[in-house]
Amino acid sequence: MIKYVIKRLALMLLVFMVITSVCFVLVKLLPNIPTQQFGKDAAIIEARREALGYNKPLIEQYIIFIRRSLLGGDWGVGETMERTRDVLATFAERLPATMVVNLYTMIFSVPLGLLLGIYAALKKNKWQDHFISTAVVVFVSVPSYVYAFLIQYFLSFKWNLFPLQVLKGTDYFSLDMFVSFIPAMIALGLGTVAGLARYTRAELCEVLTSDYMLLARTKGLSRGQATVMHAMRNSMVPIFPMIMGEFIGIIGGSVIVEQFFGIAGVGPLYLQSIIAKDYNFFMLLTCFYTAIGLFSGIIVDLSYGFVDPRIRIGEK
Amino acid sequence: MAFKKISAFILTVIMILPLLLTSCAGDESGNGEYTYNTYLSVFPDVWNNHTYQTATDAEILDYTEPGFFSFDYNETKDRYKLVPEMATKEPDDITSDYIGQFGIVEGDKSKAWKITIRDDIMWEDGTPIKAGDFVESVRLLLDPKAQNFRADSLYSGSLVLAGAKNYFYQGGTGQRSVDFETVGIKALSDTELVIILEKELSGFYLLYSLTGNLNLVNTELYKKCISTSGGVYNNTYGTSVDTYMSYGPYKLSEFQDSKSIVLIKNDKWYGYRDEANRGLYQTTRIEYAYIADPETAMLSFLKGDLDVKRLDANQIGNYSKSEYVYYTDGASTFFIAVNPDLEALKTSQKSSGDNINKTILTVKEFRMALSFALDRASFIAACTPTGSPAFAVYNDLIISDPENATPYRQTDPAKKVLAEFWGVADDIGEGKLYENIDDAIASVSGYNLAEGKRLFNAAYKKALTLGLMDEDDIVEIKIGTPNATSTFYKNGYEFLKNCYTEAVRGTSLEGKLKFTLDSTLGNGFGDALRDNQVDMLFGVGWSGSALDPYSLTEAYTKKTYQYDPSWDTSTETIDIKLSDGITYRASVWDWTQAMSGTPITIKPSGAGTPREYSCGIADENPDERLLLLGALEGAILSTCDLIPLTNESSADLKGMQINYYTDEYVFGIGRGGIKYMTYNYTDDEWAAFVRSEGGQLNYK
Repeated sequence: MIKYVIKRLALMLLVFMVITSVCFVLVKLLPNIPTQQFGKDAAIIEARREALGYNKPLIEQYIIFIRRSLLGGDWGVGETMERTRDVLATFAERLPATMVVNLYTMIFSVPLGLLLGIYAALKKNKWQDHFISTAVVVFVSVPSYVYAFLIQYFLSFKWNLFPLQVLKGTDYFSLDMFVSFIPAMIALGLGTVAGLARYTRAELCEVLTSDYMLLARTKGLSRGQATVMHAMRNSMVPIFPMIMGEFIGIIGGSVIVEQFFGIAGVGPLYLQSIIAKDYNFFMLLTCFYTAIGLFSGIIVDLSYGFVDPRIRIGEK
Repeated sequence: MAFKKISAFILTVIMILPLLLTSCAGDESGNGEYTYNTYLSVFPDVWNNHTYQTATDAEILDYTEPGFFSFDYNETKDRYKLVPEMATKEPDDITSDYIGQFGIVEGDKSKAWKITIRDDIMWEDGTPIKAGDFVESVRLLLDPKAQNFRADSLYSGSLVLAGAKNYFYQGGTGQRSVDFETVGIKALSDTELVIILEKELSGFYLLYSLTGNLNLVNTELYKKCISTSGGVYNNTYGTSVDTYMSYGPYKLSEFQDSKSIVLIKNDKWYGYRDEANRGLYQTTRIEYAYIADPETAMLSFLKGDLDVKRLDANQIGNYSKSEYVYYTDGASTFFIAVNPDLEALKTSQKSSGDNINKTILTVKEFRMALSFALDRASFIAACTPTGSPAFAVYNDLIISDPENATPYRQTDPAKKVLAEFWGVADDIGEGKLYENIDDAIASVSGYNLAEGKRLFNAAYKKALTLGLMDEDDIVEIKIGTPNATSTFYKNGYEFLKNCYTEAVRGTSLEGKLKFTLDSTLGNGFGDALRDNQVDMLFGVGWSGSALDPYSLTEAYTKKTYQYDPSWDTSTETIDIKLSDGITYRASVWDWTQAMSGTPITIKPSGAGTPREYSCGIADENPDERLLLLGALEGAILSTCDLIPLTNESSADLKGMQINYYTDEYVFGIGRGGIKYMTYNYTDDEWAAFVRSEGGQLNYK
């Protein structure tokens, strides 16, 4: 197991370097923002570029990036967005808002998704199942910004149940802040609920018709006991990694939902950095999300073994 | 059974929890507070006045950094006047004290000015501000290491500090180091500041230039914000509450990046002890929320969370008759800008694929056709219903004589340009189509489809003859917009695409004109044409300088500012008949320079001896200056690189909580701004009022 983890970590490092190197080269190959800009002294821009090393050969720039940013931890400051602000500090400052809203979303959406999936499976082919399945299809198909708008319009505006925007400040665990997060949580969570419900229903339906379930019932277990103790456990093998993935997704933001509900999170940063061609922000975000993505892959793979001890990763 | 109970319980809790919690919702602040709630659709990065770049960045500065002079209402509240703000009186001309220094010679005037500042100006922490602080701030602004973006405010435009540019550029290749003593700014005492200028500046324009504050910063804090990493200079002044100091009526209280800005009254501001301000500045708190989506902002406004809402084309229809709607005309003209640079177009044409043509844009007839075939009235109806069609570079609100508030468009040179450009000049006079030039101008709609079609045909023929395109080519014009969400840009693109596709019907270009969209330009929108990313932009233009169109002309003729830098204004010449009856020839750029007082060499278009010439503010030949302005406007229009589209205007809904001082918009002071704004309710009363209205207000 340890050998396997070390091997995966080494491979992760290799893949990380390949991805970040390719991204570095690609973003630098994009045409830079012109020196001749409106109302700006081209000499000032050129001098700044020279100081930043943008005129150096690409390989030299890459070495500087590795030395200064990856190894030295100095990710620089925003040059074309969030100007003069420390890139790492800005990201760190905005990450909690994204994490909190995603965490709150997970707390309600995972159990709800599982419960709806279980309920639909238990009521298979009855009206309850049809109702849940139809709702699931709707929520999976409709883009999040559509129901984000509907949620905002009806819950926050028409019925006046919540603030239109998330409150300002960083007191994320206060009651008022939590309440203001609810519309965003619903908008973010509906997709998760629908996805989990669909997956759980499908898995559970298959398991509930298995021979060992019949055996469990004939041994005297109630339907609930048999479902929770046997069916659920087996159906969780493919579902649990999915939930793990959702948890890891907590640090990823949503461009639309965050903007819609006024969450000062990291959601829009990546897209902005590409549009604005801010190399420092782009590389920090690329490295961060690449590392998280690769690491989560390892965690998910390892989690199979915990859910079902019969699965032995890395053993022949 | 147990499972069912647990499931039911969890489901019930999840469903009703939000409803139970809503009783705790709400964020009502302030007993006896008067909060002005507004919003920004773009959030500021940095408001350091040495480095800020956009109007949004400068939003905070309006409340925290007053100038030496400021705009106020005149006695009848229908016009502006300039009044001392940080200065105690109008500057004194002390040019004669500096003869032999800074290039000043005997007989010079209006080049050295003594500004006497108040002795009670202080930072928000109570530290006094002295004349020496302005000098040190200028030194920091011009620090060559810092390469500050706003440094050029001291060496370009009307107010040019002697030696500022030299100091800023010192240390470059072949340049010696320069002593700061050579820069034209001195502190004679704690309250006496002297500025020594390279060009004469006096009267209204001097005071107008001094509505700024010479980029004053808190030098102590500023220096603490400087850092250098890997040889790269950085300064974080003006990026947070901790890195900024106000000396104006309000100070920064909270700043949350991409979320909110809160300003509160700065009790150290001298103005609150000034008798003249008694009863003013009722606003105790200013809150900015960042709301990117216009519909969300509208809902916030209707819930009473905002006190003002800018209406877009989709919203104006519902509120056009509202008693709360305020229409405001602006001095800016917005254009369609096209790229006529042959080499640039060839490059993008090559990368666009076979049989795609872009170089037809270099044919002037094609660009003229785009102008004539443009139904500006319909464009406005679709995209910006409060606007009006534009036919010239400068609109009716541009003032050419600020002392007498004379609009430029009402002057003879301005009328002549308009009539000539739109081809009605020959139809004026007895027995002709128009009795006088005003009638002729009134007839201009800018839309002449038949002429547009004729020009499309002519352009096509010319493009074939010149070998710019083949018969089976498709003309593909890529239009750029900053985003895909703005109603103006969304509707505008669709309108232009449909308008021109229809316009070429029945011409040789029928079925051969195609438009594509790049809606990802973001902040790089303005530069995209110069960068050859797109072939056309719309809704572009320049704002500011409504009272100084002479300087504003640089925006169209100076390479740094031109949307189309391929128009080489240093080689393109125009002939202007001056008041001595002789027609002189000089480059477009030289004439522009002459208007700002820089001596140029002009030579008679026929035989004759070249002579030195300028007609700046100090040259006291306003009629000739106006003549130049008209001629240059004509030159800009005749390139057809910039096609006038709409005049600036906007419609805003004012909330029920606040009152403006005047219904009429007055240049410089608006409708009274925060200074004169009054409130119908305190914040608590307002919250109660909104609740009593069911949480939604009706502004229709």
